[in-house]
Amino acid sequence: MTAPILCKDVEELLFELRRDEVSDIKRSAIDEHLSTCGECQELITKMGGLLDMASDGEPSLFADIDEDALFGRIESSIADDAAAPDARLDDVFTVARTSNGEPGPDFDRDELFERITGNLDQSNTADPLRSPRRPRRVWAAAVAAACIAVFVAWWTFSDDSSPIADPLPVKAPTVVAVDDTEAPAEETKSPQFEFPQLSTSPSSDESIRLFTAEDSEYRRLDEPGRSVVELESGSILIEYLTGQDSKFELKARGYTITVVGTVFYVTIDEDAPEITVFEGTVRVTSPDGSERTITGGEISDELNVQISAYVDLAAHRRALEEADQKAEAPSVEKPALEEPSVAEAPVEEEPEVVEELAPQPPSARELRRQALQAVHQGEFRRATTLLARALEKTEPDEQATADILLELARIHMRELDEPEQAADYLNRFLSQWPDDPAAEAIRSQLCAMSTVAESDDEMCP
Amino acid sequence: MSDDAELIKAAAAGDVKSFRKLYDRYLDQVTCTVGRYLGPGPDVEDVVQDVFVELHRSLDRVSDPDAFGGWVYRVARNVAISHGRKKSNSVNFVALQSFKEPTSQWGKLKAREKLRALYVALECLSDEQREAIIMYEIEGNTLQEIADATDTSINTIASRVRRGRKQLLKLVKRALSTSQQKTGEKA
Repeated sequence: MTAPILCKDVEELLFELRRDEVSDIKRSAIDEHLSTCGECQELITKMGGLLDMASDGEPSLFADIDEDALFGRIESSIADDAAAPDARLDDVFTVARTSNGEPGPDFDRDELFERITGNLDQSNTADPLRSPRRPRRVWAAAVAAACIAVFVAWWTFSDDSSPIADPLPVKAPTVVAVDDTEAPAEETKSPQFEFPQLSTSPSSDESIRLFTAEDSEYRRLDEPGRSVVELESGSILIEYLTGQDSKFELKARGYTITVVGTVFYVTIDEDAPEITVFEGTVRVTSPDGSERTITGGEISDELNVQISAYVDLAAHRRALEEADQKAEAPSVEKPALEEPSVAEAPVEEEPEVVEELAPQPPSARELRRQALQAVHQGEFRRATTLLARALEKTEPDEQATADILLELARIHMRELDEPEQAADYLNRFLSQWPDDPAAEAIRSQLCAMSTVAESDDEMCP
Repeated sequence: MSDDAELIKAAAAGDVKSFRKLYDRYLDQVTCTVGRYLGPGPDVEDVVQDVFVELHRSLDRVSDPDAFGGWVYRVARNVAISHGRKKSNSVNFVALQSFKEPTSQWGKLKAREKLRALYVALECLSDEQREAIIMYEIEGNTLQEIADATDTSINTIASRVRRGRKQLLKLVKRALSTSQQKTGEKA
């Protein structure tokens, strides 16, 4: 005779039960316990259900992937990887074909022609076989890229009598604050909004790409094995490809910021110097020589470091990709790619490129991705703001609209306890898709909510 | 010679159509592998993209084309692990309030929400424990397979699974009691 099974025993055997790794005798004793213990039953059902869902879930449960679009991006990365001039036209053609050789659903003949002529024009200006275009999309791939964004107010340096900066004071940070109530949060978080008007500087060095504001002054002080940018005034966004043999340093106000790994953004403000590390690790050397390493997700009080939020790197990546594509169009006056040095590049040539390389406003898809991140971070109010903006960018009969409406309803109902708003979105869904498979469940949901909201609904029995 | 072998050979030589066929064949597997490591979220698609770029780079190193599926799995796993996951500040315990198989788009959204809660709970585990739990409980590998894949002793893996289970159970129990409290408050 076996000892009676207690809740504690069930918990200990819960995972074995799911894997069917308990003896028959134990199993029947557990079954007996479960027949009278609702709590254990619930625990087993839910824990097992979650693990089963993760284990057996369809791919669409994890992500809604547009297969052709994704393959297009993969192909772009691969093509840039190879960087073989004669492979590029293949790339242009094959992006628009499906696996069976037929034109894909997103096949845009005009765009394709533009891209082809863009490539041909580019080929004609130099040696068509020997002049590989700049592998722009290697940045978009961001396999191992580091980005540094540094703001330094220009007036900081108007006083030449203070060559060495003061240590970073500890005071309330004012930059990159996220305020849900006053402005769309991503506008303060995402670098494309912090740098709305930037021009790019040509560089012979493929491991570094610079974006600068018009009033920025900086110098390249490269040494063998070390890329150094010294920012004197203004703003600069630097993309640096890590994994190179050389190191990268940015100097500003006596501080040295060294890339240690992965992707990160740093913001230095004159009024309240602070460093915001979103992701990755940087090492900061103060003017007095002391060093500190800051990792994304950590907050350093000593350095007045504030972690505001994670940057939506994918959004940034895509914005750059779009900018790259525009820059590739034949009508665009591209910077001379063969320019040997950033410091020697004439500043007056920059403005024409500003508009072309300025990151684009986020698409509905990007807004949805940011909203999902917000949900993941528990920022539900921000998620609804983002989704509402995404909704404005989609067509009423688009599938994306349906998804957004449902997601908005779910968040309002589940997370924000706002059944009226949820009902509004659900009603919008039903008016557009009355025969959707989800419609019936939604109608019942609406009826349940009308009780919660203490309002009458004629649809409800 | 398997179908894969021919495609791998052609894709490694630069034939995009062949790579597209491999992509179509393995997209679901890669998405699931990445999704099981990261949970549902916006970063899954980006990591899937990185996996295929990495796969393309390594095509000429595939020594056994007949076992390409295993190769794909290992690359996907490695890329997903190296990608890591951003920590979340809040655990959406309410998501565990009820459990129902997804039957519609609405159901899918709810299922994702629950899965996210599971992955947030998994993030509370150490990296080693999380990896062990995902590989053992979610992917269904044996202890020996995990030990081989991670180059760790089987005893260490067993210990990580044991501790990970305990920790995960604690978190889910807490989540359940929190959601019950909330339900009670609403009622």
